[in-house]
Amino acid sequence: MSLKLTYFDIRGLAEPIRLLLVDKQVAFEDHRVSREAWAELKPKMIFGQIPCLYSGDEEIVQSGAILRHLARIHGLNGNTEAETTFIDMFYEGIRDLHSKYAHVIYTCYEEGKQPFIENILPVELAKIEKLLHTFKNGEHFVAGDHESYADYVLFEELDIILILHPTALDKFPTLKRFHERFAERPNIKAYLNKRAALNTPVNGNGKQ
Amino acid sequence: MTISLYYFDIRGFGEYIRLLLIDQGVTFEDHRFERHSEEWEKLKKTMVFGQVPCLKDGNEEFVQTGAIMRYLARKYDLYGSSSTEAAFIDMVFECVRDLRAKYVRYIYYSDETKENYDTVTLPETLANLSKLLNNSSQFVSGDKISFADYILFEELDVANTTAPGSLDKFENLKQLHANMSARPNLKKYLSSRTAKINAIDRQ
Repeated sequence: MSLKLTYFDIRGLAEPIRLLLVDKQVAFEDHRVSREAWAELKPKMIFGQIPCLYSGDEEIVQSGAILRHLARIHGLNGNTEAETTFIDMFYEGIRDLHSKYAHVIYTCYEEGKQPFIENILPVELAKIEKLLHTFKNGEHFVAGDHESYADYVLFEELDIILILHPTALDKFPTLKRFHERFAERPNIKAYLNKRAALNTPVNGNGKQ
Repeated sequence: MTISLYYFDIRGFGEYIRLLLIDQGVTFEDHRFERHSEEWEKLKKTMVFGQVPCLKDGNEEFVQTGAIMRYLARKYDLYGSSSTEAAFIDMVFECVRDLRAKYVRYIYYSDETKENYDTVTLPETLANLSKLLNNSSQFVSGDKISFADYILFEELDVANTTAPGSLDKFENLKQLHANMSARPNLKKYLSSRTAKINAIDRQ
């Protein structure tokens, strides 16, 4: 089945999806649209939004739906009911942090960055680190021994937080080690090298 | 095994979960508390993200609306009958959540305005949803109810209250709202519901 992911030429909401596909060696067309082409495409999208995953005849939008769809197909949704719910919970928690991050990036970067780094980030990262200890002390993956879709989302979130504030993880050794370990996965590592060379922007407005 | 839901005494995010449990005829303890109460102060410290809703099912404890709804969907067969249906249901659920997130920005943070919400955000989202849903089917995913029906029903109900007439142009959404309101367990619950939509006196 042919697979195509349509998104802007930025990391944004699509990057965890790309990381999942790359890591699992799923062939896909990484279709990146320019701002100009987007004006034409937007009215054709289900909710006027991207990312969109085209899988055969199916057209799936909303990153939370795309990730879960791929998770079900590629065995990244936990092996037990308890794991599956935990993975969802973890994912939703990171999304909450990401919406706070996006709020600063897109609405108040200049005056909001420092308060975010000092007041919000440490509190949110502490919660996530604590939760990561639930399975196997956080020494492997979010759900313990097996990869899940939440791993890709966590990795990308930590990665962009380190861009915003390079020492953000110094007080969170479990998160820091997770990030280091994940970046060493061969497929991820190769992709990250390629991405670094392309200098793909993190967000749509040039702020990071 | 006892199921308990912990949430504020408002509709908010907890309402989707309540509607699902009530409609499915699941007995549960509906723990409600005030935002400024000792009960919440105490509970908040024990919550992983310092947030509710929280669902306790036997010894297990879950937070995050999106995770709780999906847990219940798997438990009570409300996640469609195929992976295609599941993806569609997830998509509708997430879209309605986006709408709620904008509503929340207007209610609590004032960076969305009532005018923009009522004249742009809400009608655009309703039009997209109306186009996406099949006119002949009873629920979001054909004739089988799913967890997305509860969130969509609640948001349509909120739209009906905050922007009366906003559903008029969308026959299939109006029909879905009517179908859901007429389900016996929901009908009974709705007839005596007094909780406010939001935590502040604004809607």
